[in-house]
Amino acid sequence: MIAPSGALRFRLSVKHAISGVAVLGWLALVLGPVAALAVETVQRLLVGHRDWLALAVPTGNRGPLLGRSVALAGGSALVALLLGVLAATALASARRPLVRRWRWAVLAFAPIPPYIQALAWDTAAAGAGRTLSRVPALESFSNLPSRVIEGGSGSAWVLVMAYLPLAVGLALLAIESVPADVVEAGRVVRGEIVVFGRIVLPLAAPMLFAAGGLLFILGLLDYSVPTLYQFPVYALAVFAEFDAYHQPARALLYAAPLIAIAMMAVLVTQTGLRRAAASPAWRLGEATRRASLPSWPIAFRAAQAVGLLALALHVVVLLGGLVAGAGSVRLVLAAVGSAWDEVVFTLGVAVVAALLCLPLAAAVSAALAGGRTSVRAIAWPLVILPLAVPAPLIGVGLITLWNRSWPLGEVYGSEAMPVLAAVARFAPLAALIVLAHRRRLDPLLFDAVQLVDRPVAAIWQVRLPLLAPGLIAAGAVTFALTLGELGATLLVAPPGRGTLTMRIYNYLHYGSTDAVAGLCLAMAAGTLVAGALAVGALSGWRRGMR
Amino acid sequence: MAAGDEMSGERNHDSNNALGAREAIARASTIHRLVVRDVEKSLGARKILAGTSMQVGAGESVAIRGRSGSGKTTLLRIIAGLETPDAGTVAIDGHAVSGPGRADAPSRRGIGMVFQGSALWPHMTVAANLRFAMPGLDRAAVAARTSTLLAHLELDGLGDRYPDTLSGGEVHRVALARALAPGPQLLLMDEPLTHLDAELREEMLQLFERIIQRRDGELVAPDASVIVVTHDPVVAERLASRVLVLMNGRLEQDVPGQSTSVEEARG
Repeated sequence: MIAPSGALRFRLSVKHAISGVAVLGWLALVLGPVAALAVETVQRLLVGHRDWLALAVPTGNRGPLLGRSVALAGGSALVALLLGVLAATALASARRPLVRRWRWAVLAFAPIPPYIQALAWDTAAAGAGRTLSRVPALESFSNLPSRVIEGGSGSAWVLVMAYLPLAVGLALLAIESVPADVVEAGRVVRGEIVVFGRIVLPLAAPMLFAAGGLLFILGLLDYSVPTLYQFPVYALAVFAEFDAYHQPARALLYAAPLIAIAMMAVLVTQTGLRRAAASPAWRLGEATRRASLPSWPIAFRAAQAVGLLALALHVVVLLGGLVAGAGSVRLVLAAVGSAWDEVVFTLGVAVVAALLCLPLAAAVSAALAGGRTSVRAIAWPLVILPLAVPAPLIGVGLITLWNRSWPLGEVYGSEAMPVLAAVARFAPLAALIVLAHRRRLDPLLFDAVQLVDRPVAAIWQVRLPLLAPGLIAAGAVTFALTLGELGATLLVAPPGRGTLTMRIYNYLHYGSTDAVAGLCLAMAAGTLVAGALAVGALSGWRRGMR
Repeated sequence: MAAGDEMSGERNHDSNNALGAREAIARASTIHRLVVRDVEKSLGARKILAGTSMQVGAGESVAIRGRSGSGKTTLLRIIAGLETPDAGTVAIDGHAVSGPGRADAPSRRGIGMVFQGSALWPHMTVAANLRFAMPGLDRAAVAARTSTLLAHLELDGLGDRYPDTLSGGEVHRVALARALAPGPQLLLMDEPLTHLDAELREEMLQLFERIIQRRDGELVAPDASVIVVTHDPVVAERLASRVLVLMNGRLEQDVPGQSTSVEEARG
């Protein structure tokens, strides 16, 4: 056996040290809040609060509440995914070069917070009601749009529409990941619909299943939209439980059924997530060639039109509703000016959170991509399970972790807390995005750079440029999601400082005004720009692979 | 269409045996199975095919050679209906299948195709791969043909296996079996022996040669035509009776005296 040279030993030890710091960072920043909450809960149970264990069982009116939450999330996810698949098949087989080139732009709308979309739909419903009231024959129906966009139906409708861009993007990814020659081999012997049903869908199923699971989890853990429509859900009850007793352990036990369901969804869809990240379609070569365009039968084209129409409706109502509600550019500027402190604070939090997520995401994605099988088996659940934790619980966990005596107490109550909340929530997503990008790169490129005896140059001139598109996309997505983060920030924002989201959400409870519409429009614009940057990085690397 | 061809292939089985394969091929060759006329295709600014024309007789085996990127695969994909030509026409058995305002679906062209990367459906077993390629046949006929294909292509006992558990040679044999499954009148093969080591390649070549040349109606109909796209002259010579070379977007005849199809088609 040949002993490694001194230089190689040094480089390996530096590499291990960097990885070690990143893993420690992950454990502290991403898993720390939940771990602190778990430890606190065990301690409480051991010192005489065993009766709190009953909170983990959804008895009384919590059972129906949980069932209602699951039904709302499941139904919304299913409908959004169905519409998403239909729209995605249309976009994937579009013949117009413009549509083909810009098909991924739909993903730029994905990070816009659902409660902003709720405002847009409220404005649209009010507008539709006014229009109906002007037509004598339809005057009696003038209340109908507002009645539809309220309660459970309003929540479901807004959630479907809010998740539609993500559903379309993920379905597009799943469908285009099916190798082109496998699809074409089917087309030689069978018609388009049979090939779609027997070849494309089964091969895309794990990724579509993962997409459905992700949408379900998002819907299950979101309380912002149902609350606006006075439709109680379990995620809000967790928040209310903590608000009432200020006992982190009670909040965790209360949330246990919700977490259990979300974790089950994560674990069940884990195969799909892993396959999506490891799909050969991400890699170089023939898999990146797209199959020739199919000629769909008329009935299927009609179904696709429904999906496309829903997508168009989403974009038109979102932008149109906000623009109409805001009134004019002057009013938007005035609204932004009135919330200038929040705007600056929010942008600062989002930028720092995005920058902090990147080294963590890069290191963890490296472990997921190239580590030993045993390391990957441990790492995968640790990366994706935080996605199943409700946002308020992340906030409670952060309070439990940092609300201590010196030195941790210095952080608690500071402006760093919203940053930590965003990192804990979105670093797993950033890691998955960087991992997906890594899978598209030829591993030999990384092997080759190890032969170069210039470690610093190897990082700056080879590794970073190769990873750059993935890091840019991950950073942009983290930035966009942090702009709209509410559930955890609401609990940990420092006294006297609030984010733009907090201000908007407070305004929203008092109805739609010019000011709130103006702020929502500004927020949506910022999110769209960040989303477009992520999509641009994604598209850039997709084109680069061809 | 493919299923119907399969049935007619079976009906003609006895008489074909009596005639003898070579005689049948000679008779069948008087009919044009495929006519490609003045086909043009550009990818971006680059013209891949510039007025390409060819004819293939019924029962004839033709190889198309050319350098990498010369457009061989594009031509084959246009014949299969997987690409649309910018100009020109393609006719199979006298029916226009590609041309101005017309593009018949690949599944309606009565073809079988061996893809360069095999392209087996990974979520289906070997037997399911074959069954999926036989639409329109009843269950008993599908079972019988599946058994026949597995036996002739030395795949006995592999019917329940998934593609990712097969060796390289087995994958190539399944790909050929699947292409033959519907009993195509026109068999297209795109670089069928790539990614194989020399020994396995020779073994596979012998098998392909035997299957294609036998044409006794059991696996390949006597009047079925074959087009092989390859960069390898040995493969071209052993699998085809006529070799065409694609250069500068046009087909040139490589082996003289076999046919004048290229010139006929241009005329």
